[in-house]
Amino acid sequence: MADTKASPEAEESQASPERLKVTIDGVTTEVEPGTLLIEAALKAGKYIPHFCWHPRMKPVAKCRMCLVEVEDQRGLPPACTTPCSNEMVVHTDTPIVQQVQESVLELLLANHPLDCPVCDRGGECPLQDQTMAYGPGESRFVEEKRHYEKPIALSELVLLDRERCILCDRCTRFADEVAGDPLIAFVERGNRTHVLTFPDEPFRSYFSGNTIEACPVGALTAVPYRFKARPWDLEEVESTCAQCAVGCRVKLQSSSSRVLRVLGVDSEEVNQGWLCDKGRFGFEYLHHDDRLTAPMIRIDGELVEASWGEALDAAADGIKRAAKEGPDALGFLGGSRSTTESAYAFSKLARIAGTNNVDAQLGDGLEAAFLVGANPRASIANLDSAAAIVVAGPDLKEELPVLYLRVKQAALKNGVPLIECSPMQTGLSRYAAVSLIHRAGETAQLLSALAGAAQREPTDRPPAGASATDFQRAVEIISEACDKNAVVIAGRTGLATSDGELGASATQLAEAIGGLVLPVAHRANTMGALFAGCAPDLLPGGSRLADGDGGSRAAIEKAWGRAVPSHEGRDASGIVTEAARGNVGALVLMGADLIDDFPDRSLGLEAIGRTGFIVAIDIFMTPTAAAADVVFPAATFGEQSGCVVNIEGRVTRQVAKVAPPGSSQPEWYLLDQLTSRISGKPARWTSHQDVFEEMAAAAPAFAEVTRASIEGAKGTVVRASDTYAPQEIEHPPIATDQYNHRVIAGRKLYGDGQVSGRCTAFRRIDTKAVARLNSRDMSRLGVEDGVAVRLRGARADLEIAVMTDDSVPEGSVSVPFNRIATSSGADEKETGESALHPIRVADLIDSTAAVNEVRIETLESPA
Amino acid sequence: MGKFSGFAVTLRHMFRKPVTTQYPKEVREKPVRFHGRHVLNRYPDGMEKCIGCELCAAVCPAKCIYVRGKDNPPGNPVSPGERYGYVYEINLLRCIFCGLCVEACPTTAITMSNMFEFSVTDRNQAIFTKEHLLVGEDGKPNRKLGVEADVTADALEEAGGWMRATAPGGNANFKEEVLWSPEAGVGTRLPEGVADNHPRDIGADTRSPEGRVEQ
Ligand code: SF4
Ligand code: SF4
Ligand code: SF4
Ligand code: FES
Repeated sequence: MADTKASPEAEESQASPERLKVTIDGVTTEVEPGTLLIEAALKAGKYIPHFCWHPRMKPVAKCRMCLVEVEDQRGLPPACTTPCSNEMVVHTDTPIVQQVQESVLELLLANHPLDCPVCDRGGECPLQDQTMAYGPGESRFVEEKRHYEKPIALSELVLLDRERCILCDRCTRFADEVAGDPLIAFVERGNRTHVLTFPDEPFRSYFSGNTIEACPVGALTAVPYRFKARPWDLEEVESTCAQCAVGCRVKLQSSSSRVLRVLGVDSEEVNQGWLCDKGRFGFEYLHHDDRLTAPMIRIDGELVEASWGEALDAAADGIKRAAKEGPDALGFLGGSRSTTESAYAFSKLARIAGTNNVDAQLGDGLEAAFLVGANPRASIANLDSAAAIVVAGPDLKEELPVLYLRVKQAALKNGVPLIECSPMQTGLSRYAAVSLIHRAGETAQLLSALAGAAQREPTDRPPAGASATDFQRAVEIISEACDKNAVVIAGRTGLATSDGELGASATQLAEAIGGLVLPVAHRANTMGALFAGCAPDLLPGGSRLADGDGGSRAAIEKAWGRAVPSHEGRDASGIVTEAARGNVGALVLMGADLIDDFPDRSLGLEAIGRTGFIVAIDIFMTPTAAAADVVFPAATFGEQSGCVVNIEGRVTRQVAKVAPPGSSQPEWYLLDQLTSRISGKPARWTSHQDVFEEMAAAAPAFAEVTRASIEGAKGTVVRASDTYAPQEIEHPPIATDQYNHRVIAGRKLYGDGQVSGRCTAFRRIDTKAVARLNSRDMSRLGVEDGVAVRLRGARADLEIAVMTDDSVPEGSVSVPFNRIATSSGADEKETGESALHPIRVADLIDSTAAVNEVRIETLESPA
Repeated sequence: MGKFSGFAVTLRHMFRKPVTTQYPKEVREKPVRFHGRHVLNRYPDGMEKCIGCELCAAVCPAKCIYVRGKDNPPGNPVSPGERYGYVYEINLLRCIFCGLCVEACPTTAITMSNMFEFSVTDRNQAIFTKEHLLVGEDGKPNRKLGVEADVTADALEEAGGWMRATAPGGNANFKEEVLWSPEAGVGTRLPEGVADNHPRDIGADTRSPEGRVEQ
């Protein structure tokens, strides 16, 4: 049980003169003032039975299971709300306490249906366990129990069986206190009290799955896990979630080589036990029938299954042929969805093939040098005690949900003032002291202006259309927080804006206020891939290619036995642009889909059409893979071991639990084979540990990172050898057209991508794309909610339904990047086929422009 | 002692009644708690008793039972309550006939019969599936499927009979009355109508597990 551990704060108490001495069942221990009795008991190695107390939530003393006897005190106080006092003497197992525990359990069971055999919690249920340990053994109730309809759906993902509920208030407290989505509450009184949603408002919280894990009985169960297995069927490993770059620690549980459940691990540094629902329920794609199972090569225009040897030979030949035309005839994209080992193998292959044109980001992130080298870099835990937090990036609730929880907790619980710099209101706006809503694409200007104002440089007007009063307040807050570890969170605000100087201005702001920077990326192992050298200007370890000062470069050349090419490489946008011009002979794509992932879809399509030879390493037949010449099936999360690096630079381990489908292989394996075919030297690795060791030896930044040090939840934080120092920043002027709407293309948590689209759990959730507009823009256009309009962009037209949303400022339009916009898209989702036709938001975007604008036209009514 | 004295024993036995039973022509009476092969029982109304709880699988020392549960189809439930045994397999080559599964079962769904003849010609045939194990609508065991030797007529014809032999209370004369209390899962009272304002139709229809990954 996760909640039987003492909360880490309680454990890590520093020495202080005012420590309290508490004696619990004869064991004396010293605790900090304010420690609750139940925590002190855990510290002393005494388990006090409890249901409602949860180490990460405020105690409420609802269940009365934790009553204890305190000497010289009348009555039996609940250990979960009683703070320790000095010289306290507590007994947890006297006859009176035992009698009370029996009565409490007897009462809790009075209306409990005891349907343990059919209950998903049976076998791992705190109520079962504590009834066995502390219960009366036999019930005296002969009356019929209370009955409710069972189960009822609280949302698409969570079911509630009210008969089993013991009214401990954990789920409702979580929803309100931790998630900030108070969508469930107790209704009625007395014997009829139960948990329910509000009328017509389901429990659609991104964090709803945590209530299932927190529920001490089987009242809340998960739709995806329902009746899939019983606890004793499950085998488990601890791993790191692969859905976003926060890198939450998870328990991966499987039975018969199928992943069936993901649970959170309480890691103080990262997720404090919580997961978002995407991480918790987004594993069903692993066992989808569409998984690639064998390599394929194109013969006479058709992709046909081939042996590994044939496919590797074909891929190596194609790459070698293109390499003859010089380094720029090659492009290597991907790595951010793989383990760091595989990304390292990918970056090595690119360099051995003779090019620096390698990029793990698909033109949808920030500068690689900033992401790996941000300095001084903040950790997630720094947020708790920051003097202020500036968030300049995507909607954290949608893209990095558990980071959102941490920021929200800092703002709400610790009172850290939050400044939000965003083109539209986000999930955090509610908790922000100031929301600097500004024109999309000009976040960098705003940060620079804040930096300037913090250094008393007068600004006549805040840039980017932010309100002057808000700006003034923000300046006050950051001036207050100067030199007190304020944190600047910086990430790409959306895919329709290039945010070119954002990293530089975030660094500038952090410097100006003596704070820290926390750069954020989207895909799970973006940081790992960049640290492994999957960027045109970086080498493994995050050292700058251009510096060439001998140090790290020499180590790498020694490890590889080969010179690292020294020409200036191209990033993803550069590679795709060149490919679209027909200048690239061979593209190697590893978990990178130029059609659905690259922000500029028309460019991606063009690039694929005009590239002579494409190798795709993927888990599904993505539209890009379908157009490739050689396709390799890859093992993925849960199927291969390796390490990943989260936004803080924290290296943790992902552990294999189930077998990959068919003959799929971890990417490092096939990349090693390709490297050997290209370099003519024998393949070197037989396990991911060999890869890890070579990487650690080659990159000085990984010197601290050993196999032992990355075991466990804490992992090791890695720092790039070269830190990021921005040049003088120049913000190029952005031409605005008064008649146009600026596009904000953020991602939604649940998208329609290759992976989420194949998770049954999310397919129940409505993921229709709508364009959101300010109410004033809506009335100016004269359209109502749900009406389709045409967004006329530079690249394409998109017909999409509109919805009023005043969190979008006037003059902007918000469209979800990762959802299919047209009705024809639904078919693609059904069949999972790679139809190239449905128009997506990415069709609108011109990735070469700093901002993208569209005209909104009403459609003629069909009459 | 003549040299024939040794034959006395032989001679004596020649006039005794033979103890050999002419199996398979003659079938011996089996003790009432005989541990033969398992059956999966039904309620008198034809509903399956197994709820797919996997307790039998959990307790089995030979690890020879494989069970997977599933939601009861709403219109046509297989068992009372929410869950039924969707996959049920016993590998009789591994089974040690200890009967612990019978003891663990909360619904007396699994009991042991008198049937003991199940020689097979292929190991796979020794894995009895739900099809083999489940008694018919008439409560009689399925004795024909796949395993040819399993055809001997048997004294205990009804599911209730085997239950008697293995009644958890240990009483060989135990009759009827299942231990499955009507409360667990299916109340005799209707549920209280307090959820009327609840948004029911929000797509989480767990009972039609469309597109779910099957075990
Ligand atoms: S549903 Fe579970 S967590 Fe919520 S109040 Fe009931 S027992 Fe507690
Ligand atoms: S009789 Fe014993 S060995 Fe055989 S299935 Fe039952 S529990 Fe397992
Ligand atoms: S036979 Fe009994 S113990 Fe086994 S799964 Fe069915 S109900 Fe559970
Ligand atoms: S844990 Fe103390 S009252 Fe519930």
